[in-house]
Amino acid sequence: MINRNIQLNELSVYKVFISVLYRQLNIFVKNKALIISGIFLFISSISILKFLEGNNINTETFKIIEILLIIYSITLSSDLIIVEDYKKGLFEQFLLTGVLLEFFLLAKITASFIAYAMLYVPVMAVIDFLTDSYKIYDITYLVLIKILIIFNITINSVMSSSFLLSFKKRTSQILISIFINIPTIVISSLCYVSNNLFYSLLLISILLLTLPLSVLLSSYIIKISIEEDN
Amino acid sequence: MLTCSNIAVSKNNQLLFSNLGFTIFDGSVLIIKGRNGIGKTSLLKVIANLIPKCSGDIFYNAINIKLVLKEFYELLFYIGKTDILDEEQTVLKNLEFWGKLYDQEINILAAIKTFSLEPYIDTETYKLSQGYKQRLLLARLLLCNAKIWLLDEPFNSLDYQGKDILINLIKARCMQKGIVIITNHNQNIKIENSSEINLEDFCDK
Repeated sequence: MINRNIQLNELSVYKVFISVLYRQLNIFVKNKALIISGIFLFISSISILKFLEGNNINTETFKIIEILLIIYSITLSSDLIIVEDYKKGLFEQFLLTGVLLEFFLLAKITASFIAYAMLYVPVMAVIDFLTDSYKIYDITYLVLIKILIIFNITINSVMSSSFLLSFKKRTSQILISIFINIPTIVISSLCYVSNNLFYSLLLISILLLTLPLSVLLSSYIIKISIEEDN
Repeated sequence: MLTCSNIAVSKNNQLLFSNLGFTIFDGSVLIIKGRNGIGKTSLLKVIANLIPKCSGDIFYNAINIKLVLKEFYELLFYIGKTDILDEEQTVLKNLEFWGKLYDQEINILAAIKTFSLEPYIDTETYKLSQGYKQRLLLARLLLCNAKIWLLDEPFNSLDYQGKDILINLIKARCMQKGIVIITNHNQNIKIENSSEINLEDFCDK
């Protein structure tokens, strides 16, 4: 009987995960204008930079600026992950389902990663193609680095977005976002500069460290904010 | 049986009410009354353990809910005033999401029929009138197996037909030995075997 209950609970948690993931993807699709404006900002900034600097800017510096612009443009639409649902009171309902809030956040992070990776990785690949970066780096290595960067930035934007619930000021979110993205910026820059697989492993290790940290911290902040706002 | 003992709740460092105590037996309805801002919603959230209370304890079948919080959450269903519906999604998509969340997809059709939402299943929620949005919100009651319903101003925006549907649902829940707690600030709602608490009696001001 106990085993059967555990199996049912596992099935229920899996269903919750899938339905929240699907819902989050739907939110991104319905708010495509916001996402597209972020990408447009990214592409136009990169293009302006390339046109103005031309060959005076080296590939590594260009890549670092690219990462900073991605952080900025993803932060623009990060409200769709946590803040909007929090304002609706959805997290209160999630808490009352008896399923851990962390599962909901994990589903949201996964959906956000899928959405952002599908949009930004191809765009970044096209930019690499246009700037001849693919000649310097191995293509598989480039794609791997890009996926890891997007995953890291997504996790960090979820965390900074949760902080917005506590601090209430957008400036604090941007400052926290820059601060918590420093390891990603440094390691990914090293990945580009050294062209060494070792640094991509470091990027994976940062990911494995920040994922549980982000989920637990965000869940804690959301619970505290629910208590404070009521 | 749900017992609240010596509950005191404050908001923004101001005491809303204190010394509140009551027991609700299985199969009964409690209507919480009081003017706006007196703390009706806060009381529901305290019972749901969403917000802390200044003092007091809540017991379910003589067990302090703090000791069995996860199990207590599985018994609860809370409908708040905040609009948790996905405005961009259709009525059906909204119900499907909640059906999956509570593992009750089998009841989606029943929820649609009970609240007469059939003509609107493919309509985006933002196109619905306030009354039908409230119906959609309440249709979620049929998508959960919770024993205790906490309903925050559920009759708001409902027409006579909608009110009748909800009253019948509440009666049905009570017949299944459920517990229903409703907040109500101005409407004269009559439900059989219901008891009332006026929060103003527990307010210092």
